[in-house]
Amino acid sequence: MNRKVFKFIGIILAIVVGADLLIGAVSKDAILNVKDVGVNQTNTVQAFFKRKADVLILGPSTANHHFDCQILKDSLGMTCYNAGRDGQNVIYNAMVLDAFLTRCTPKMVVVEVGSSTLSDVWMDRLNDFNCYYGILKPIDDILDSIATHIDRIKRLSGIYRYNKTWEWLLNAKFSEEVPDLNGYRPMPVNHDSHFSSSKQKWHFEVDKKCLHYLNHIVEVCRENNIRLILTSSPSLIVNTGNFGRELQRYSERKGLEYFDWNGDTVYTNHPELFYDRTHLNSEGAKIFTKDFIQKIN
Amino acid sequence: MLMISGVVAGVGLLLYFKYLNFFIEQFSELFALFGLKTNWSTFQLIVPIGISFFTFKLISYVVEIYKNNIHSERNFVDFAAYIAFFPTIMSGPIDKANDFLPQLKTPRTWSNAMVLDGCKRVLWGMFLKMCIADKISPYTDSVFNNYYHHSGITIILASVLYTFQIYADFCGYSEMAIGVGRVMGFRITENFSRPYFATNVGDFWRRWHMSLMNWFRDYIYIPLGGSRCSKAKMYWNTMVVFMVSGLWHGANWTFIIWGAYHGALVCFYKLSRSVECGLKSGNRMKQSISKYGSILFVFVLVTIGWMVFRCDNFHQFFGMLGRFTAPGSLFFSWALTAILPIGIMLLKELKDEEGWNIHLLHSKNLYVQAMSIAFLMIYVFYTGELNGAQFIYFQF
Repeated sequence: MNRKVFKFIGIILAIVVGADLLIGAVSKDAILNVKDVGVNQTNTVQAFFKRKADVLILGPSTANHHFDCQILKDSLGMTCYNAGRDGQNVIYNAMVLDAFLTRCTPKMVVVEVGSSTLSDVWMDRLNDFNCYYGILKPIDDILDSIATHIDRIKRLSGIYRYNKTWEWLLNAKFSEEVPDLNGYRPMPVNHDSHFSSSKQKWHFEVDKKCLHYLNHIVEVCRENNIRLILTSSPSLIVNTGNFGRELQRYSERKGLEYFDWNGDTVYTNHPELFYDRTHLNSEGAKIFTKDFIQKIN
Repeated sequence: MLMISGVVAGVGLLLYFKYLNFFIEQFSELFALFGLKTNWSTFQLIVPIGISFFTFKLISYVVEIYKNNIHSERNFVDFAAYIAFFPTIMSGPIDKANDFLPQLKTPRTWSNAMVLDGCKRVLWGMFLKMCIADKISPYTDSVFNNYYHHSGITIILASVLYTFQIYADFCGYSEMAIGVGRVMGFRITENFSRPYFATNVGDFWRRWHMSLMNWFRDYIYIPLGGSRCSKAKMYWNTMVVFMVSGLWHGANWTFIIWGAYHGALVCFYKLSRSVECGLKSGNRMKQSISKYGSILFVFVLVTIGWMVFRCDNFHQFFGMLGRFTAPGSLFFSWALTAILPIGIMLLKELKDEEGWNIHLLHSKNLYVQAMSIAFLMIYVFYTGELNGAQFIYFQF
């Protein structure tokens, strides 16, 4: 009876371990050679391992959809890469910056800061980056610093580390080439949408790890003589909490430039510039990028 | 008297924690209709986890003692283990006291077969939750929450997918709870029996959330008179059970109307039962067509019900219905890869339903069984959502 049980468990283990090793061996190469099709994951591969630029845009979806790289390039005369990614916090931004610095030193870094980018609400999403572990040391260092012991053990497994990567790798494989917008992903103009401006209270609630990595970005930029600009994009949801004020105070303490569009009527009175209540559409992004350039010049 | 006070205490706590704010809001709105202003404010209550489930267990315990089916429990630990049995406390299944308490009194011994069976059920539950429910969830959430952006075909697809999502989510939880119970040597009440293969709405409710429906049957429907009364009373009893079932799911009109909708469908089915008997006659081919036609019809009716259930309010529901004819392309997302595991789930259920003699996880061949388990494990952990959402039924 015991022999049968051991044999049964042995077969299961042999298949699982074999598959684990195979998946681990194949996935790393596939990730590094993935085609850039302008989606979140392929943009991350570009930002982590491929691109060089003078202006680096960091932040969540509001950064990714609001900063038009072509306009920035034409106006500032500097190359630009938009490494914003939907639903990611400042720890992701720190990983991108550190990885970028292994290839080049940008002249300017723009970090879009929203309430969720500094809080712990998106912390679980950092697991999406397990598949990049073991390729570049600065990324590994940050992933190690936020991982628990259990996370590190789980990361030894190829099945766990590359969980769901096949979806976006296949997607990229069979997707058509898209024009290279340097990471910027414009949102479509929807003439049917009828949004109105509303108010919501967001207080400055900062997760310790997020604050640590915001400070890390500030330090890295200072050490490398990079101009660092913090921004808060326009939104139809006007924040009446103390978020902007506290961020302003933080910027003053650190000697940073901070531009806040919260409640700016140029945008809140024009819902047609929005794709949804928090994201500008491509028309809105054009206006916003020009507005941004005017402010920083 | 003790029985009544036990039931009142249980129901009272449930009403207080789950429904007090809802009733305050509704009465305020009702008075406002007549021009009367109230300054009643709602309370910020922290609802105890699993209150709907353990309250029903508590009522079952009290009523079964009253019916002399069990003796009152003298051992507090056993009593607490029944009420708060950890795999089932969050979302059931709702074991009846006379099914579970006797199991605590008998010694449990290690059984390889039972442990293996429990592990397989946990693995299947994980497959349902991680590879189907959590995979579909981003798609249905984005369509339901932004329906005004989507075409009719996308909304129809999202509604159908939600039907599978809620089943995979809840059945997945139940499978895991039953599996964990089995590993520990307990036999927990089954909760699902291939509900989307039901041929009529009554049949659906004999297969969906069985432990809750059995509870309603034993403690509400039968005490009200059940079906041993006039037809009008029977329909009334049916409607009461389904509306209470709707309200049990949450303090929102969408749940109450969802319950009433299903109650009306069951009543209509009972009225028209003779029509279905006519369809059952004929050759095998005709019977098959009739059977699968009925399954499809019930699926459509149930899907409409789940739309009401999923929507936050009726504005959203009618807004979505209004978009059914809206032109546009299908919104594609990688969440649609859940269609493959849905296919696997349906095939397994079809096999069980039709009694096909094909076995993988339960094969008598050691190699086939071990390989099936290994492949399912790899599939779950390589393709499943590791950071998935909470179980839908946790909120109830």
